[in-house]
Amino acid sequence: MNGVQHYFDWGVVHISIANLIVIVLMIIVFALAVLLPFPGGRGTEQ
Amino acid sequence: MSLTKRAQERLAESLPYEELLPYEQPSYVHSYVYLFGVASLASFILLIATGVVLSVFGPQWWHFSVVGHFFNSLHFWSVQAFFFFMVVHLWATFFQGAWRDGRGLTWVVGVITFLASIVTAFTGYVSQQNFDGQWIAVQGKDAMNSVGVGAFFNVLNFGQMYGFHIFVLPLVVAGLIGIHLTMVRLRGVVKPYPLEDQSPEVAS
Repeated sequence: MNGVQHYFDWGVVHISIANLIVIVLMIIVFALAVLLPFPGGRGTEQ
Repeated sequence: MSLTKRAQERLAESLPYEELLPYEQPSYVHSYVYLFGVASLASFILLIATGVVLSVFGPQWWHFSVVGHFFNSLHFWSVQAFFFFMVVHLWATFFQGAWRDGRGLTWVVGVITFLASIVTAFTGYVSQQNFDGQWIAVQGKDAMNSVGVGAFFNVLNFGQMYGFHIFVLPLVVAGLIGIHLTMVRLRGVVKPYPLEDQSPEVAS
């Protein structure tokens, strides 16, 4: 935290690389959660 | 009828003891996307556990001992995980339209929990007892003054921020999570949106 921060600049977008990585990771995890098949049998119909 | 008797009957009717903890879910709850709420809860439990250890031993311990550093890092990464999973949970519930069918208040309580968690995390950042914490507090002081709460919520006052962080706000967040979970148990997980394309292949 005490080191020099690196930033990504694109037009009005100004975001630290650390925050950008976290957001990209969240999008990847969300996409994988939607796309990957869930293991095991299906639950009961309610 | 007394308040306790009414509460007892309401709970017995809408949340019977046999169904207090879920061991079965509807068939549509068959995707990783439904796991982010409980992942947030698991991160929160780890946050509380590591926070209790940190509060027992104090700032000198978490800054200057190896084990203290370890627990400090566990607490830090737990909060990263907590917000990470909470945001993905927010996305998942947003795209599912999880406020439908009488679940509006569950959604609102979730939003309030998220906002309360941000304040809790902020008081944690200014309670670190290092230069980073002091820098955040000095910057935050102007923001608090500009919205008119600087006199009541003084981010440069370590005692006040620490009290908020380890007692008041965790109670608020834990209470909100408890209400949120109870509401989810009362109403169940929202059904997926119906398919718009009702062609014979899809409908069958």
